[in-house]
Amino acid sequence: MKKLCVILTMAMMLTGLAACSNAGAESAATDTVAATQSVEKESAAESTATESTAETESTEPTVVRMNISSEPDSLDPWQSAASDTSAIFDNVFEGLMSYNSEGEIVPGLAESCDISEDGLTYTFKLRENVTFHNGQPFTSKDAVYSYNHLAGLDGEEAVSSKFAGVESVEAPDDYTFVIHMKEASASFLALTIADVLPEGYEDQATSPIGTGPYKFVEYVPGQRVVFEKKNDYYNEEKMGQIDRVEVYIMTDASAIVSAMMSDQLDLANVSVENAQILGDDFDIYNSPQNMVQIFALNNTYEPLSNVKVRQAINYAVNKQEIIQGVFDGYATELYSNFSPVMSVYYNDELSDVYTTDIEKAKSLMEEAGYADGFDLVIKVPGNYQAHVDTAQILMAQLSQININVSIETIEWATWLEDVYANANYQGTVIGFTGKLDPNDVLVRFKSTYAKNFTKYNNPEYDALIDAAAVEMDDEKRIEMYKECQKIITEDAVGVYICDPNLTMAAKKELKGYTFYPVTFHDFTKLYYEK
Amino acid sequence: MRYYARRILGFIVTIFLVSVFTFAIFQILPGDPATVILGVDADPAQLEALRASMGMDKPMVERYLDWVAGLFQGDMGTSYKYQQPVAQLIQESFKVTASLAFVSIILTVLIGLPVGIWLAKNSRKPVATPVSMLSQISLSIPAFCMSIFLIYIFCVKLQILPSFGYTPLNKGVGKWLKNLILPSMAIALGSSAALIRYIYTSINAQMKEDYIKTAKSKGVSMTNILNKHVLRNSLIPVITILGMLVSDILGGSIIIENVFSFPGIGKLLSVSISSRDFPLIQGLVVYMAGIVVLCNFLVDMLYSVIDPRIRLK
Repeated sequence: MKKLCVILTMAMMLTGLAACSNAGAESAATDTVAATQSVEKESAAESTATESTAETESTEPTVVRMNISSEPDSLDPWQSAASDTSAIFDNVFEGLMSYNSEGEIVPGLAESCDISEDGLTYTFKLRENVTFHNGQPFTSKDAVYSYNHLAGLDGEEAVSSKFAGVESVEAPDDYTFVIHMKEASASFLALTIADVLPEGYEDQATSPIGTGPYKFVEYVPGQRVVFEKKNDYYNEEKMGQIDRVEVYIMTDASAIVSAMMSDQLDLANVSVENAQILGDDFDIYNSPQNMVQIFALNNTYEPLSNVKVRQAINYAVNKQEIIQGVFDGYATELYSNFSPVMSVYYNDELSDVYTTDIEKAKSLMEEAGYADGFDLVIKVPGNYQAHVDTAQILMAQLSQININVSIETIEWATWLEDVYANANYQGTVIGFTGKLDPNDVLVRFKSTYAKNFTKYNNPEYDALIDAAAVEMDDEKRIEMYKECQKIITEDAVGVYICDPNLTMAAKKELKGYTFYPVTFHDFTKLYYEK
Repeated sequence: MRYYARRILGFIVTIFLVSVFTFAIFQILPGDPATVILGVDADPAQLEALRASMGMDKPMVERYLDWVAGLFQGDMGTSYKYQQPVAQLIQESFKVTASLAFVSIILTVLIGLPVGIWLAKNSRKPVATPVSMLSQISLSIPAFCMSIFLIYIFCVKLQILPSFGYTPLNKGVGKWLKNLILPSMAIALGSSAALIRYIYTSINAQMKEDYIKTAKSKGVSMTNILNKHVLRNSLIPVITILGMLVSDILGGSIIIENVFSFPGIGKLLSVSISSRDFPLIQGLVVYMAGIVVLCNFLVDMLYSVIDPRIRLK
């Protein structure tokens, strides 16, 4: 028996080795801190107790735990492009201008903005008493630093080619900031929501600081990002009420549901299906999210290059079937590459351009010389179940006009390269997240746009969208964008299916979740009902 | 001594071959790491900047050779996605996965060994049938199914254990264990069932050997035959199974780690592949080859401890 024990001990040596190195390395651990496990909530309380008791009435700090599905692409906002990242980090950083839940551009770090008659000079009056999270006061110096960097005026590469129109910037005094433009641009004001960062701070990529209502606390790769309320935030109205927000990175949909049900998350972004499972015990918030789910067609691929074929496809597709079948009705039908969430620019006269009509579709196919149909391969990114399901319904619908669809499910990285970058595809289903500027939404179909993956080429459209970008008269500009929507609908670049709702499940006592026309989880609006 | 030299040589050749294969696969596989990280809304200027910072402006072969050269100096390179040294990322994830392996193996042995021996001893009694059936069932339930089942009972219904996340050991053994117990159970229930089957079969095979007859005719009691002779000889397959299990878990249980949002090797592996993070993938390949070779080596050593007739040659 003694020997058996020895043998057992030996058997565990394998793992014993592992455990030793484990314990040894723990003491040296630098950045991995505990994933606060909150079956008992006290762990979160410990770390904030020192800071926030002064101002809140209750002694226990309030915590909201939520999920995101992907890792932040970069903590430095100028290096980041993923909407999942800005969705949470927009609580930390602010720009000269900001946006509200209607999608309107409103003052941010600047109290006001004066645009000269010719549209070439932007004068911002900056707020006083604003400090960055490291205590450094915000002045025009930081604005100069930021815009020099964004536009590449400091001799380095521009952060974004969108700022190419900036000629120079200057700061007449500490709280005035002026931008001179090379040419007038109607969409430039929307660009000034770009995050302003403190001059001379080098560690944005590891411990980012901004001026926003929440400060960054920590990021544990693969686990979570934690934020804390900034108690001396300058704007009383936008002051957060929740002391601490913990955002967990969770990729598994059923893990999110069980985490909600076992009281480990307070707020979660869930699928419609899962929302129904959670429905009884949680509040479900549902809203169009300014997304466009499109069945994109490669306009240079042989049968699809014929506009009649593309129109026939539009007549054959029944969008309501997809909305019911895939999104359980929680989606808004679209008629162009534009969501009605952007109400100002939305062209509402396109709803009867294509109504489902199989006979009409068949005759168009016949006119185009494809009465017998053709084979069509739809490539869909397998990590988006909704798009895969949509492709399946499309397969059934298109078989009615003899188009023989086969579905190829591919990996996201492959989709980005094959479909999005190289347009090596016939048809695909994808969703594009919302933008505040209509130009950003519609420019995808401009022939010279680098990522015009539909390969749509219409000089008239190109000219119109270019003209709209520099049109300073708002009304004319709105008309132009409405016209743009009409052109891409009539030319049937693809089938614009729907704007799927963003579905959030929240604990019943957690109130105030607010939707924006861009993906943004506004922490400042959240509060617990007592 | 020659034995060790051969093992080490074999290790180097294995790693070389695996890394060449991985490299070749990534030549064929479409996908650009910079685009994957920044997504569809990336600005061309941002993409350029990121590619330059990754060193992706160099040709692929040159990058591979740089990586090999770095490896000989103990440098595994920097991850594209996380912008952190690969060695550090693997080390951090290893702590998580090693904890998982440690607890799983203990549970596997604690459940599997006694039940297996008991089953072999009592195989003729009617009470053995339900136990045997139960082990068959848990053997055939996939680990992720078991996970969901366990989460439903212990997290959703009873609310006594957390359903996701990991707490390092230095935050307290209790908290550490609390996070580990469910994923470990999910692994151990399946693997201990396998262990039970192996022990059972192995003991039964030994019982038919001639030396058992000799022992019996000498008048040795059944209990003594089992404990002193049979068990020791039956342990060889057990060690094999445990060795495979350890290298399996340490290589990353992608599904279990995903279900429990565990930041371990499996999670790191799936992220590295989907983001085409070449240095990280190569680093993980080396790590995994190392784990497998090391586990096999330790298993071989254990063989010779259990049965001195087995010599390392």
